[in-house]
Amino acid sequence: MKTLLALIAEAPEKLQFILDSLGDGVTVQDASGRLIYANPHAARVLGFDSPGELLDAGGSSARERFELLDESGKPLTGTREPTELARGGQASGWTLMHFRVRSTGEERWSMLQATPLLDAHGKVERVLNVWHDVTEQRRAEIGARFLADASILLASATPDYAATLSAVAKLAVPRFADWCAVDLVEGEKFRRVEVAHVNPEKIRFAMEIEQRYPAPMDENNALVRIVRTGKGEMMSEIPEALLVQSARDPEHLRLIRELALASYVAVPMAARGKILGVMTFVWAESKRRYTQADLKLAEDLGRRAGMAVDNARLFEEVRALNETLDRRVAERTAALEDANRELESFSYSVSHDLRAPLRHVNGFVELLEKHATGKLDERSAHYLQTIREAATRAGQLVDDLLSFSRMGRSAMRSDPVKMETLAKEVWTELEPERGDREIAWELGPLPPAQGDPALLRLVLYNLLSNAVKFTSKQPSARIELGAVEKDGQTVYTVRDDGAGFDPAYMDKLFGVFQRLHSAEEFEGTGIGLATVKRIIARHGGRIWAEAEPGRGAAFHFTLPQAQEGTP
Amino acid sequence: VTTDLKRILLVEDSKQDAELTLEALEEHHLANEVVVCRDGAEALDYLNREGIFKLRAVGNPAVVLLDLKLPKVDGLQVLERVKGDPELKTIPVVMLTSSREEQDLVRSYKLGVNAYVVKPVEFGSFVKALKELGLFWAVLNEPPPGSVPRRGSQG
Repeated sequence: MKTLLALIAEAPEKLQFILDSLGDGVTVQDASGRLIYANPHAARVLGFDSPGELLDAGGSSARERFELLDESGKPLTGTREPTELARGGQASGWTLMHFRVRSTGEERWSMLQATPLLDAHGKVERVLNVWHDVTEQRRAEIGARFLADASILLASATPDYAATLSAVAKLAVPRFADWCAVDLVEGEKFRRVEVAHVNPEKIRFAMEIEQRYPAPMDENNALVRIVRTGKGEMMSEIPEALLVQSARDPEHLRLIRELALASYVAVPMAARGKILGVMTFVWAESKRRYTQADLKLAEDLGRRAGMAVDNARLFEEVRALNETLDRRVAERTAALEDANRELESFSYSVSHDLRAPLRHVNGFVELLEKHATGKLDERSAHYLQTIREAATRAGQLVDDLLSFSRMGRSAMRSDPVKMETLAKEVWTELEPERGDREIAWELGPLPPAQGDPALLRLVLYNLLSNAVKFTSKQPSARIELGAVEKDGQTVYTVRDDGAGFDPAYMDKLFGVFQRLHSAEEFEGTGIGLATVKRIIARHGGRIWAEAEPGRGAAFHFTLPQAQEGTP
Repeated sequence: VTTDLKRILLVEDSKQDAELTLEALEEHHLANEVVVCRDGAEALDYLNREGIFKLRAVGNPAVVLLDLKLPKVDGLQVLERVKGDPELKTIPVVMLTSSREEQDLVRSYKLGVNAYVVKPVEFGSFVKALKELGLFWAVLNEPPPGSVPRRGSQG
């Protein structure tokens, strides 16, 4: 097998062929820096049409055809270029060159390695430059970074999506476009939310053109086409013919030529099958061209922007819905408050207007009794007695009913309540009712509860006085009050061995004015257990009973446990 | 119409209540000391010696027994006017009412009421309550200057 060098030595024209077809640029300079050789690729990389043109431009003037830039794209100064190093006898190693081709304004990136070629005396005779173009990779990187930055913006979008889209358009310039426009579909029209360009003068200029010559709302308008098809468009090179075709008159043509539109990509912003708008990217003065890869990137961005718009609109809808709900709740609450006030004024009237005649009946019966002392027969006296008792009882009913309704309305306290102490106090309070009856009273240890002390006292009072009352017909009785802990709640139980009741009427037990015993058997207004149930319910607890006629009754109720850290 | 100055001003619109109150006070021989007004406007006229009471003797009653619910000017309004008038504000006012509603109690005390009594349904208790009230305010309590002195104590 022959070596490459041997092959070239046999037929030097082969070297020419190899260099011409090489995917990298090769240039050779003499010791003075003058270009003496360039292959076609090198000419293209440096912005020349052919090696001949590059060589004709001569040494230093060739160098003037492009301008070195730093990372951010600003002109680079005061750096020794690799070629200079090589002319000093030093190999440069691979160095990234970022430059703008002056004739086209195009930005390019290339890796350069400059190597000195020495003569027999070790002097630099030539410099060999190898150019490896990385412009496409760099552009792809910049595009990807733009997409990433824009995605972050879109993902953290606020409900003000127009502002977000504006920011994305500004981000596109100049990394991904010289011009970026965002239009939202609004009914049959478009609303342009942003036109971005690095130069505000240019934006004003473009808006003037748009005002004088508004884009037609037909197939000649890329926006209209994209909304109809839902597909992105890319034109890597806008042909002169297209400009001529879309110009309304010579003045219009002159103006759009001035914009120097070179290449464009326009993509839909879509979400859930609906086209919400169009994003347009244009390369103009930087003379760059969009590629299929750019179209894909823009389409990706369009989808993300569409989702952001959709999300923002949904968010707005939900917010509006919540507002409506809030308003409705406020209205209903006001209506409820009205109803409550009406109820209050009703009880107020009852309190006044019902109690007064009862008081009168009572008072005048008593006066009559006094006046007629000795004149009434036994039967008449009994009638008067009955009238008085009835009026007194009716008064009691009114009072009970009022305190029951007041209890439902009044504000409730939430304190730790020592249930055992409370039970002892209530039991003492019941002494007049107990009299000298023989009652075995068993008070188990009761854990403290969390609630309103006055209301909980009423609960114990009602349940224990019931127990005392319903055991009153028997010679001896047993009444127990105990508690067990269950599922973070305390279940308190009041048990007696008295008259009990028929469990068939359990559903009536806690109703207002519901009585399971006749007034002759056991007196009462039938409001005690309704009151108890209401109080327990207001504490978030539950009450239930078990009983059998003649075999006593047990009432169980739950209350929240006293909160920790409180006495 | 001229009216003597009495020691007790009873403001009560209900005929029955007025009668019962007088009966109760009669048991303690205080009925002669009572003048009855049937609504708030009349009560204010009496206190200010205006209208039909223009010609009554000068001086304030020792106590006003004031029903809460009254036609025209209600009890709370009468109370407010009495307690807001420098000439009248020293007169003790006892609110007599059927109502147990708290708001009346609170409002009455805010307006400066001296006592607040819910009329008991049971007549015996009513008599007892009025006896205590009458005895305390009309007999035992030393009335503010300008009130009519107790009969018989003038010497």
